[in-house]
Amino acid sequence: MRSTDDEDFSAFVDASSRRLLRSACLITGNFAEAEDLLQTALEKAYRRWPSIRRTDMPEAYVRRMLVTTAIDAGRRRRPARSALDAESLPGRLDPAIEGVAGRSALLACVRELPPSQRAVLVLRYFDDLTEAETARALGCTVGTVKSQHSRAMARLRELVENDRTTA
Amino acid sequence: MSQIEDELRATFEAASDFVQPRSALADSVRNATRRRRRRLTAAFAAATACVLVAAVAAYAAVHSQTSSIVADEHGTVFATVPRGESLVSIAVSGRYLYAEMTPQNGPVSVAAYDRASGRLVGRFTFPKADVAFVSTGPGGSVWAVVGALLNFGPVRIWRLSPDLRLYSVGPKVQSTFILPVSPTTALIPVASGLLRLTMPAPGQPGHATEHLEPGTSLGRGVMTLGSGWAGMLDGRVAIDLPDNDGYDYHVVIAGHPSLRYGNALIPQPAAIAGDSLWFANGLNRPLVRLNGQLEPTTPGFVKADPVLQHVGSVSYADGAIWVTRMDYKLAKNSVVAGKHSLVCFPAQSQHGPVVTLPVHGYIWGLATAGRTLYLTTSRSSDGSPTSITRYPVPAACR
Repeated sequence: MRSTDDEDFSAFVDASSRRLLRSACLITGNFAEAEDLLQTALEKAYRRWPSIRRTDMPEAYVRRMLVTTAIDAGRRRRPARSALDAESLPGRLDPAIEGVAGRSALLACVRELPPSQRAVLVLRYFDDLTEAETARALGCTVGTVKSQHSRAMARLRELVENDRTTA
Repeated sequence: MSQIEDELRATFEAASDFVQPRSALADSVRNATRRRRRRLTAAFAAATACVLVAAVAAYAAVHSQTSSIVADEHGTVFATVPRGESLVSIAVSGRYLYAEMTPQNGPVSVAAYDRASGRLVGRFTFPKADVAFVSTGPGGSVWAVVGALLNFGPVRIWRLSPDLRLYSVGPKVQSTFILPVSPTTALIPVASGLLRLTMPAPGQPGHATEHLEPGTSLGRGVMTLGSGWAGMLDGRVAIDLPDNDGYDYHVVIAGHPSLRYGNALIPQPAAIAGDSLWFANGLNRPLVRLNGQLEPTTPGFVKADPVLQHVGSVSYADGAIWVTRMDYKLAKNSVVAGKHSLVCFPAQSQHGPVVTLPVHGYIWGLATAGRTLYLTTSRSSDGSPTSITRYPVPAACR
């Protein structure tokens, strides 16, 4: 790899790695697993970097590898208690938000969703991707994103309601 | 926008706000990529029983012994590969010598040379493959484990006709070694044991069939993608496998995973001769002989011979063990140049002799058939071999 490619790759990692790692954390619910996934995705990207950088969308490319691998890992095993467990969230979260039982509880509800639905929510509401961009990141159709999104929101409302009733 | 969607945004933002990637992540990615490349290269190198280390240390003089003799045979060039290509490994089966070759850029290929005339009779290029381990089996069968490993591509089994004109493509596997056991069947180490693969004749219709051999567990915590070698040891299959992190190789007996031997960072040089495993626990380590229970039974003349205390590669063919000697020395973070020596001795002997062949340069690949030894060598440690040289096997090693 040429030194300009190497420099370009370093600049990309510096600029994008935090956002990508945050997405992976939210999807997997496990910081260590998210770090491993990001490392693996970046290794794959590094091998193909000269061609990836020409696409002008290197972050989308890496995000797609990261998200699909995270979903696959999530399907194979239920995430263990982790740094993103509701109980371990930073104390500044407001537990008395009107309409929901608090962000900690909401995050716990998100973690009850299947990995693919969780990924749709993270991509739409954390990464601010459009439906088309979300579909590209997940390697599926826009229709699938819409249906996954609607199922995720319906299930989430149900979980939040149950949580509030229990509380 | 509904309230729950607003809350999702705020929750995701707050819940991941503490997340920071580790420092020097780009460097970590580069280093991991290089480590993986090195590991894969090392695995294939050992599997082909070639010397495949970029450089070796200064050559230490071969000490003479009462049981050692120096042969006076000289080599003649058997074949030269096309310009721009270099040899990776060689193997002999029946009337053909097979040479695996790589161009500077492009997929790997295998060529068949007629052993009598040295003429190139066939050549096959594996599409999109950056690595291939070619193995010859009973009945002149030619098998290959082929993959685009450096891009994390799949690894697939191919079977070729002896003249390389016809082929059959088999299944994807998670392994880098294949052990042909009949003209149509091969054993492949996979995570759950040994896979018995039967493939149709090259160029013929039909599908490959595969099933897991019962009672061939390799134990937990081993990785078959990266396996170093496999062979029949005293009627059972012995395999050199790394553990799950890929950095710790052991010999394992299939079906008896508690029987393990060795612990090295790269696949150990080894050769199997019937009920004996000739083995070095890493490069530049002493040669030992193990029995079918992986217990040391090294003859005294092997322990006493100084050449056999610094093994680079080990091969077995037609009753003789062949060993290249290597020394490694680091100087200013690089490996000092040197050259190799090559010795052979009868596998069944308890007293030697150990015969030294006057070979010049660096030995990369070795194959024997009957009374002929084939070598690929290069002049320098960072050069690439481009020709195959033929030597007569010394009388003491026939």
